[in-house]
Amino acid sequence: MKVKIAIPTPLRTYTNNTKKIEVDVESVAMALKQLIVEYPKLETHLFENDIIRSYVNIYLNDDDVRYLDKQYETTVVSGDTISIIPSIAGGL
Amino acid sequence: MEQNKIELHGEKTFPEECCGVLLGKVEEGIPVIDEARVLKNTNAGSRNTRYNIDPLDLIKLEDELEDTDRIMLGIYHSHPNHPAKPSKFDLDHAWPNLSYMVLSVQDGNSELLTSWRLNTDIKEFSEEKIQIVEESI
Repeated sequence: MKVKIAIPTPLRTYTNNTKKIEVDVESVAMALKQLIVEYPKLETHLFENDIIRSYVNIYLNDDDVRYLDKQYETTVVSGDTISIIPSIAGGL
Repeated sequence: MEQNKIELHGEKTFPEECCGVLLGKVEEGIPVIDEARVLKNTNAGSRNTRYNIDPLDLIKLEDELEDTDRIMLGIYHSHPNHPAKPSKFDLDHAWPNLSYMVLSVQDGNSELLTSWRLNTDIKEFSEEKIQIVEESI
């Protein structure tokens, strides 16, 4: 299934400024793994011990993947967009 | 103009933290902000000491900017009754390649606005100079 992965601005340095990357995969997890194969410098910003970092939100279209039944193993269909959204937070 | 908007936002939300994004272009390697976009602080706990930006707001923003030459250059937020310096919590949650503006608001009055950028080792911030440029008409 051909899906697009939307890369947020702060991480485009590691994708040669490409905003959306197309991959041919079956699930969200496979898409993220394929992304790392193509752009290895993204790995430290997205993964910690092979698990998605807590400060990284992954959306499949408009749904937070963590709240889907199969989470990262959710299957994708052609035309889906996977968005990597930095968790923007801070404070005192 | 945009600095005023940030300051007014910080005063309006006091004693809670305000937050928003900084939009514009990179010109000759320098981020040039042309808009401070006010966003809602969605922290579910104490907004007096924490801020969160809704991921869906960021998705909408990226969609809006997709076919333009503008990008998200940074984030701003306020520190009510605290200095305009990023905290350890700010550092722990910071992303590379973004400007982080911090506004100090003392007793409801905005004071100092500073800007910071994560170092390449992503272990600390360095302060950036803020320069106000003439707006083109």
